[in-house]
Amino acid sequence: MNNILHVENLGINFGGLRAVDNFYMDIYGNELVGLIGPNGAGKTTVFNMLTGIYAPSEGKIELMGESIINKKINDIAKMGIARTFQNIRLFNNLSVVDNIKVALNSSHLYSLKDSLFRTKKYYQAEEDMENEAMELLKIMHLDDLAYTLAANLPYGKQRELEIARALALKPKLLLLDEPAAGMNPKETLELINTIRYVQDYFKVSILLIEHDMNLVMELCKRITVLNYGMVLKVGSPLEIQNDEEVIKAYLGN
Amino acid sequence: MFREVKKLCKNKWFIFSLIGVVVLMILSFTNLISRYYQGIFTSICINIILVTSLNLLSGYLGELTLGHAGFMSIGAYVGAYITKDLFPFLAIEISFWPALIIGAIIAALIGFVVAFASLRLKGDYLAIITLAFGEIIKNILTNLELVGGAKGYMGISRFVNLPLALIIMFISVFLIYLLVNSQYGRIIKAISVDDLASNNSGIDTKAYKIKTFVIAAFFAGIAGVLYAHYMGNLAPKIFDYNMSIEILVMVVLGGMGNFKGGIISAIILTLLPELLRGFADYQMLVYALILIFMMLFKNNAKVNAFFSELKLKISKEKVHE
Ligand SMILES: Nc1ncnc2c1ncn2[C@@H]1O[C@H](COP(=O)(O)OP(=O)(O)OP(=O)(O)O)[C@@H](O)[C@H]1O
Ligand SMILES: [Mg+2]
Repeated sequence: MNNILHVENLGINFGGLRAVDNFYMDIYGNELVGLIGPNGAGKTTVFNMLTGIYAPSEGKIELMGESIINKKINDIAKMGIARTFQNIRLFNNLSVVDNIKVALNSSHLYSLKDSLFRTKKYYQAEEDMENEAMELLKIMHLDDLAYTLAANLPYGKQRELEIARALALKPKLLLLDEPAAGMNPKETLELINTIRYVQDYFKVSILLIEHDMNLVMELCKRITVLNYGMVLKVGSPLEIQNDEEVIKAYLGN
Repeated sequence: MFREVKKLCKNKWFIFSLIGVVVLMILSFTNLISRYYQGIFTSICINIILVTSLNLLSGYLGELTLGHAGFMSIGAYVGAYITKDLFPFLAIEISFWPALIIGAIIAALIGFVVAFASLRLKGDYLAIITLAFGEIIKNILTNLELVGGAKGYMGISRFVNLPLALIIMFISVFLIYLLVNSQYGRIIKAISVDDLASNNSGIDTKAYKIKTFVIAAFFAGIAGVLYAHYMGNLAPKIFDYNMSIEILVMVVLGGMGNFKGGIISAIILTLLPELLRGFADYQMLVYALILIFMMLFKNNAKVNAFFSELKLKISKEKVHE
């Protein structure tokens, strides 16, 4: 099997706080993996290390065999790790389609000179971006909202736009940080379908953090449970649900 | 390029300003407006360039800077030095053009240095650092005997008249318009609301910040060269923080990142002190109030969203026209 992500002995300190310790994980092609655990366990911190926002104190992170440690945030994004945020972070002052176009930048580069002289390359790139963005929005059922301001989208649509924007990077690995947070049951159901569709259509591997256990158990093939910054258990949904320690630390009853 | 001009010809604001520029040019060629008003309109042209370029930095990119007068003074002094002392033997019709370009390029280079030095700073800190930069430039100029020092730099050719200022203003604004209405504009707007999310979308945000500083400083330099060759003399103390604040007020009043708004507020705020004698006395007070009022307003998410949506609606209607 082809290894997309390999993480080994990952750790980070914030001052005296050991937020993540000896974290490990492997994700293979087109897999959907869950990362769960109590509040403050270090899940988002793991995402922040995978995307270059935090520099780990130690450990290995490899994307398709290439280390991403010490790489710049934008370079990691271009290498193929895209993400959404726990608190939605859209470009609220831009339209829906322009949100996508920002993320399409690295695959449709043209220079300031092309802008100033409105060269063929400028028109070509702009046209390609428009087409590609609209195609992506159509897949995510956002095309009829393409020219709405992102800030004015309903909550559920904002979450989906954030996923669409991440997909615009054509990632190999998509990180979703609590995509169902704040959604009503109907929106959550839609989201489950969307995530499944994305996994199939884009052939992307997905790592998702989520507190909604229905969603996690429904979608994920494998789950890593994090507790106090350390891996408590790795296993299938069934194994996780029936694990004594996981129940005691997180799932309850 | 022609496609862009064609598109612009359907824009009533573009047609309106084009007519304004042509009418003013005819009026000044036929001497139908007095020298006094020609002077005011020339100042307006210079201020429009300053405001439009600062709008890139403080409006679109959202970086509060108070050093625009500093960039302008570099253009002014370098340009004046070139025409007056470096090539005194050349006719001004010839030496003005390299002076214009080189003045702007030197200002852009300093813009690069300032940007690089202040990359990690945001908000108030950036405002303070750029303010300090402006004052340092002023102090250097005050002590630079080569360009007259504190006494001022006299005897610069007064080559710039209203028609020339109009043409250079129009070209500068057009170039900045082309930049704003391209992927570059989209990206700096994105960075202004969420630096990290832009970075995570594959955007080298630092490079864009530096680019924007360089472009804004370049056009401030252009405005400076125009100013020097319109006034005929320069004094370092003109380019103090009050001037930077004045330009920033014009940007803020026009609505940060609002292209037309910036131009209109540059026109109004240049005319106001000229038309209302008493206004000059209260100028800084009024500016301070405008700044406070707009900042309060600008930080209200609901007001913000309302205006952005309105802008988007208007621009969409234009597309469909
Ligand atoms: N930049 C930082 N500086 C200091 N401490 C931090 C920083 N980021 C995270 N932490 C700490 O690291 C720990 C893990 O936080 P993290 O946000 O990763 O938790 P989480 O598992 O995502 O929780 P939640 O489910 O509430 O989102 C917390 O104790 C948090 O306070
Ligand atoms: Mg979290």
